[in-house]
Amino acid sequence: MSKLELRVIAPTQATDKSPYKYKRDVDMVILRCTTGEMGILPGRVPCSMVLDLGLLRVFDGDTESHMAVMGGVAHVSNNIVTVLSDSAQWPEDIDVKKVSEDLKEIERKINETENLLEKDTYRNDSRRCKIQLELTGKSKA
Amino acid sequence: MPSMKAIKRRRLTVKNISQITKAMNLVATSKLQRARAALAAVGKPVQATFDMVYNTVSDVDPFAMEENFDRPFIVPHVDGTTAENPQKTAAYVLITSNRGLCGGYNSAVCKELVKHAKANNIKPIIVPLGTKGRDYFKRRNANLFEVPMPAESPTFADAKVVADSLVSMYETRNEDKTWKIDEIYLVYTQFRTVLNLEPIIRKVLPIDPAYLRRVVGTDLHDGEAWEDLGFFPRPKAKSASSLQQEIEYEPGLDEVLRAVVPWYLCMFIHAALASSALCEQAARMTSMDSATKNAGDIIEKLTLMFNRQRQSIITQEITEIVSGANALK
Repeated sequence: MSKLELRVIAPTQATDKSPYKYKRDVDMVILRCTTGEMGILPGRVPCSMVLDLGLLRVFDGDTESHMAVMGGVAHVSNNIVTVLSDSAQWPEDIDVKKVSEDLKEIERKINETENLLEKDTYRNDSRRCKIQLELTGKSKA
Repeated sequence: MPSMKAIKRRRLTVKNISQITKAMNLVATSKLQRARAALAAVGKPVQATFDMVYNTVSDVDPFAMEENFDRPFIVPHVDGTTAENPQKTAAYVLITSNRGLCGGYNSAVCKELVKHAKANNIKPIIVPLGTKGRDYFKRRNANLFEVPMPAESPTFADAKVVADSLVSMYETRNEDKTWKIDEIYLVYTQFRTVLNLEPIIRKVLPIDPAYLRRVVGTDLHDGEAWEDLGFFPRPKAKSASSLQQEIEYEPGLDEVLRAVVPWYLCMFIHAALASSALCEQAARMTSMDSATKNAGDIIEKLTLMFNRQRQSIITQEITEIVSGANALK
């Protein structure tokens, strides 16, 4: 069976060794789009999509791995899935202790501030932290 | 003829300067290597992004009128045939260096910009990235739109800041309901060889699918040539069968464009910054090399002059002694 080539590009995290955060042939990818989750199998019709904050799930053989992708865009064509995002993290990239502390700090700020715009930014930040924590929680189980 | 002391002093000055230019040449050479690696590193992500943007927009016709769709960043702001004032306003993102002593590198891009704006009847708003370009146009009282400037080795985050402010500038309307700017151009230097640096101007917004097709190069029509931007090697042509499928958009074309195009702009600027940084070092390397050579020539001339003068003084003294001795006979 043909496979999908998954390329995850997070330019802010790029190193000199590899411009890709992740590049491999996989069986299936589930992306978190703004309209809901979307599963992609080999042979999919070309599609461009807008990503939401959420988990990117990668299935290869019997293994399933997860990655926290903080928004961005994705495109599928010719069995190549390209994901462009500001931030893409594996569970091991996340410092659980720091993130939980950040989350507490952010929630305190949400309760304190009166400014609606600020509140919105903090809510977004707290969603990021929660996704990161969800990712690390999941990988332990 | 200057005095021997003056020549000696001048020779020392030139020698000191040549030591500085030689050191600068060496520094530029090693920075050139680093800049070359940095440009090579952005190649793949840029190619992937361009591919993605091209695949997304390849089906969209900028001139087909459809209701309920904005098709932002593709539909031009000004239609030359209907607008009362045919002069466009465009933002020129001008990439120059922050430092001088690099030959004609900075003035070449600035002049190219002026020429382009004049030839296309465009009212320019300059977005300078690099102090040299900013100063050039400040002296000429041009319209400037200043954004935070990246340092010598530009990062992706620098490009993102610039791209974000450009997108919001492109999307704002003036009080009289016209667009603030109609087009965005990128003015940078392309590296061909160390001795061949070419200042170029590329339109980045609105996106022209036909132009993007030539840049991406996987799907060229008959008679079209691949346009080398110097960011990535020539791609292989795609198989014809994969081109026929229609593209889906999730959630919709407008939303996808609003998300994808800032990435395109950002990547383009990122790559252009890397390309210009490489050219800056190459330009500095060659100009410092010739400066060192010129200094060598001057030192040679001054040494000759100095020796001649010394010799003439010696000759004069000998003549005086000889004629004095003759007089005593």
